[in-house]
Amino acid sequence: MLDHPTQGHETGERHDLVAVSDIGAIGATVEKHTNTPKPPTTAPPRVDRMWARRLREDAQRPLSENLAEGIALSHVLVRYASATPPRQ
Amino acid sequence: VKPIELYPARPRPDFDKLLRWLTTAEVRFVLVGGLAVNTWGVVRGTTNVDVVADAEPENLGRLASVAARAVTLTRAPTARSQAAIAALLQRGENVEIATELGPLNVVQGFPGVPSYAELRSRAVEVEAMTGTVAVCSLDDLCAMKRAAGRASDLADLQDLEIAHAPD
Repeated sequence: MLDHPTQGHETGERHDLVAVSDIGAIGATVEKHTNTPKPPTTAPPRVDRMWARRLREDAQRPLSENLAEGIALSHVLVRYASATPPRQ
Repeated sequence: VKPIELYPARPRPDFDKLLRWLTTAEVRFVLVGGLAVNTWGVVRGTTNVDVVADAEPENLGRLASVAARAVTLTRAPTARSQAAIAALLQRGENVEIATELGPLNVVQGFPGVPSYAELRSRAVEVEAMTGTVAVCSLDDLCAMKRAAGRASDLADLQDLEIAHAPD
C-alpha cells in the first residue's frame, strides 16, 4: 500500500514506498532529514581567516594603489546600483 | 523609431575626474568615508565621494563652482546654480550633490566629525591619478566610524582594525 509521502517526516523514520502503476512497480525510500547541527569547531571559519589575511595584505600596499582600486570598484557599484530598478 | 528606455539613463561615475576637478580648482578638502576606508586597505565599492571641506566662504564657493559644473540635480530641488549650492554649503549642514561624475557628499554638521583643520593636520597625502589628495588619518577615520555607529560603519571599523592589528 502506498503511504502518504510525508508520512514519518516528523518522526524521522524510514519508509519504503512502493507504488504500482501501469508500467510496473516503482520504489522509493524516504529517510530522516538530518537537521542536527554540526558540532562547533574551535577554529574560525576559513573564509574569515582568508578575509583577514587579505585585509592585512591590502593594508601593506601603497595607499594610492588601494585608493585607485577602490575608485574602480566604486564605479562598478554605482553603475550596478543605478541599473537596478527601484522597488515599488 | 525611438528605442524603449527601460530605466533612466545610467550615470557614468568618474570619481577620479571629480577629485581632479576639486584639486585643480584648489578646493581645500579631506577625503573621508568609503574612499578613505579603501585607501587604508579595506577595498570595497562605495557609492559616493565623501569630503570634509574647509568652511571658509571662498573655499565653499570654489567647491560650489565645481559641483555646479558637474551637477545634474541636488536633493534640494532649487539648488542647481553655483550660488544656490554655495548657499546650501554655507548653512553648515550635510549636502549631498548628485553630479554627472557621481554623488558628492560634503560632510558637515555631524557630531563626531572633526573640523577640516583638525582632519587636515593629521591627514596623509596620497598621490593618485587625480593628483595629490588629502585623506584623513586612520585614527580619525576609525573615530568617525565609531561615532557614526551604523552597522556598515561598525563593519568597516572591524575590518580596519583587523587590517592594521599589530602582528
